[in-house]
Amino acid sequence: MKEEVAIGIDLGTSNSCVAAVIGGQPRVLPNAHGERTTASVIAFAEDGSVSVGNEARAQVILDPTHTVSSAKRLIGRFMFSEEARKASAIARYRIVEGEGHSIQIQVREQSLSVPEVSALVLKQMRSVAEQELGRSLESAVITVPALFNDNQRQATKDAGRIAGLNVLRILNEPTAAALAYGYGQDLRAKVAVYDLGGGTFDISILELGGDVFEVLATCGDTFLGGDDFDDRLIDLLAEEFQERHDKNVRSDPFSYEKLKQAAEKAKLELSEKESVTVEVPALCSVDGEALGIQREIRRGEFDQLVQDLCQRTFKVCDEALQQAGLTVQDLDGVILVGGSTRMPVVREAAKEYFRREPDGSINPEEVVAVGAAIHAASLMGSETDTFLLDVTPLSLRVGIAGGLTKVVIERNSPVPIERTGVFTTARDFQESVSIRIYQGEARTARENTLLGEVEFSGFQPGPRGEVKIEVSFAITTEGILKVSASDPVTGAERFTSVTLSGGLSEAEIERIIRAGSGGESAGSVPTGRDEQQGAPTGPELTALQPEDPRAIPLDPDESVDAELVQK
Amino acid sequence: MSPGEIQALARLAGGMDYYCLLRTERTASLDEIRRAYYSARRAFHPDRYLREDAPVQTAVDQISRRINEAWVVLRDAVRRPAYDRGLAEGRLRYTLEDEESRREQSRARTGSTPNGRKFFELASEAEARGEIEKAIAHIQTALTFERDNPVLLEQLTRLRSSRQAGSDDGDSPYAIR
Repeated sequence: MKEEVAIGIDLGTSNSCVAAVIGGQPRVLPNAHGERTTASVIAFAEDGSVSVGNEARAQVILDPTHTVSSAKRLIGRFMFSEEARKASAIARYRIVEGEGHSIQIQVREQSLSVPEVSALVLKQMRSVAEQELGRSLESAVITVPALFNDNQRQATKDAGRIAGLNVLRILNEPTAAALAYGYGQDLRAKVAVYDLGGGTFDISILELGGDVFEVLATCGDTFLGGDDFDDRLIDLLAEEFQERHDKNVRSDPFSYEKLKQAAEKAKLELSEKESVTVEVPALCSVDGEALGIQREIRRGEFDQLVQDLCQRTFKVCDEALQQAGLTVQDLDGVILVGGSTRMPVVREAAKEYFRREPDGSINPEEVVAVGAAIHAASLMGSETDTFLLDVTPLSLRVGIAGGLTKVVIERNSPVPIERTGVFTTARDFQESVSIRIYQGEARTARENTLLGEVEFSGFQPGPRGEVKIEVSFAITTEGILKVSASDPVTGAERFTSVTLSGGLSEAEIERIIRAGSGGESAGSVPTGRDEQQGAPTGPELTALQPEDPRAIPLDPDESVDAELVQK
Repeated sequence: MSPGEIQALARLAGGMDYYCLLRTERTASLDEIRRAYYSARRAFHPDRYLREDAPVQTAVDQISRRINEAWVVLRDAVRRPAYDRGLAEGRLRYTLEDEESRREQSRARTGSTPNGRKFFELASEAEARGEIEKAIAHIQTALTFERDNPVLLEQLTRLRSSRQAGSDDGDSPYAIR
């Protein structure tokens, strides 16, 4: 019998990487072109065929409206989110609103949810691994930025299932990197993982103690990544062009894409060279005349342009160290992860901040996939040889009166974890109670991410404050939220468990899997969502499906009808 | 642990206090609690049971949640005494409402210095171990960093009176502890 193999997939904003442990050795699996990372870009051709990877990236310039990139920025988000607004403004493919305020991507005749789009990238990574290893593969660990909220994690897991994968675990990227760094070395050390990817920044502080990998704290910025560094160059070039020719090249999709690719190329080259010349011969035409850009950029000039972006990451690092109760001097090592840490300006700034040379032995683009593969192998093996103790990166909150929120589980608590509270009605003879759930660090509801809403009904209505519902909030090992409720007097033993959903419903996922794979089975896929665990004896808990417009109230200041019972 | 034992334990966990969950004593020091925590996490880590049936996995997850719930309370110098007080009244879990009063308490401490906080925590730890004299000394040190902090002053008065009650104990067999 062949040894069972599970893969680790680093599903990146710009690039993805797949690895597996073969014969005890973790290995990055290259694609058919010999490339060790694959662009997370999907091109939808006119004949209905779909291509993923670097060929697809080449299509961005030729056919920007039918080429989807950076889908990770949209996964698990609502149409009314800041990210969706930003993407709608920039992206050349069509973004439309689906049911329950979800985001749909419209390409050619089809309308796809974001998990379906991400599933195409995952499917590609799976087939890269299958081709390289010459066998079929089913199980995988998929990594996500540590700062991903519940909806983003759930949506990523859904994407894995749609891709026909048995998703063993959703793992935090910095944790995966630390695992790859410390695996089998019996280290006793405190390390910082500085992870600057294409679209997100994470910092995790870990304590490694032999086979135990404990995350002490995680912080991050989901709106900061390598793309922002590109934008600085784009802005510089576009503004100079406008001064000279009085034309805004950013408003034309074709020119914008050309400029964007040139800027990204220049950024990459500046990691190797002291100076590069950006050349875009025919950027656009003004009055029938083709105009281009030729501009020399020196590394020092680029460093100046992005200095504040680097400093922004260190503010987040300060926060993480403080949360871990450590100072820079307490650290024994620093690991730089993510393609963006290849930039000398980032490395230098990190070296200065951490007052030590970052570990040079790891490959920042591959280490996350390698860590995921090690974890996958550990999960498949008969003996668990590593213990990951992770934390929840964001505080879990419930909405209270006045548009404010109250913390239920504070950030950087170890997961899985649970906390209960007793809620009551805010008005006399109210028939149902709903609780809005948020993740984030702000007191006001508006500034946090709304995850969803749960509604409790079926209790005997009474005067205000008399109905008591015990609500238990749990966060799983993967950072996914589960809410259950019971009657504090009678129903203490039995719970109805539901997962809030801002994304696809269980039925939709099933339908997509059936429709997409033509009967190809994903094997014994764990459902990911909790089924009911016994009949409720207390008030009945209703999970609001996304198609129910009440599920996601747009107005966070809307009156709250549940109150936390005070002692 | 066998799958059957795990499922039985998950059912029983609801009736266990945090010390019992971590298999440690109510008088345990922070270090002892930490050791107990790691050994419990190791024993019930969900990754070890990924190949078991769904009900076993659910049970392991439930136990792990409770272990972490216990740890974040018992490792904290403010939450632990609050929990212990509730436990004396038969309340097995530290809830959202307890957390709310803790927040109010910590809000009252706003503006406190790192050193003040450090000694305040040392004092709470000493008190948890029953070392009242040490706790008083730590609070006094904390007060040198922030002399007007009402919470510290209140803590000092409380500790002094509990020391008083402790010594009264020897004198009068009727003293209420």
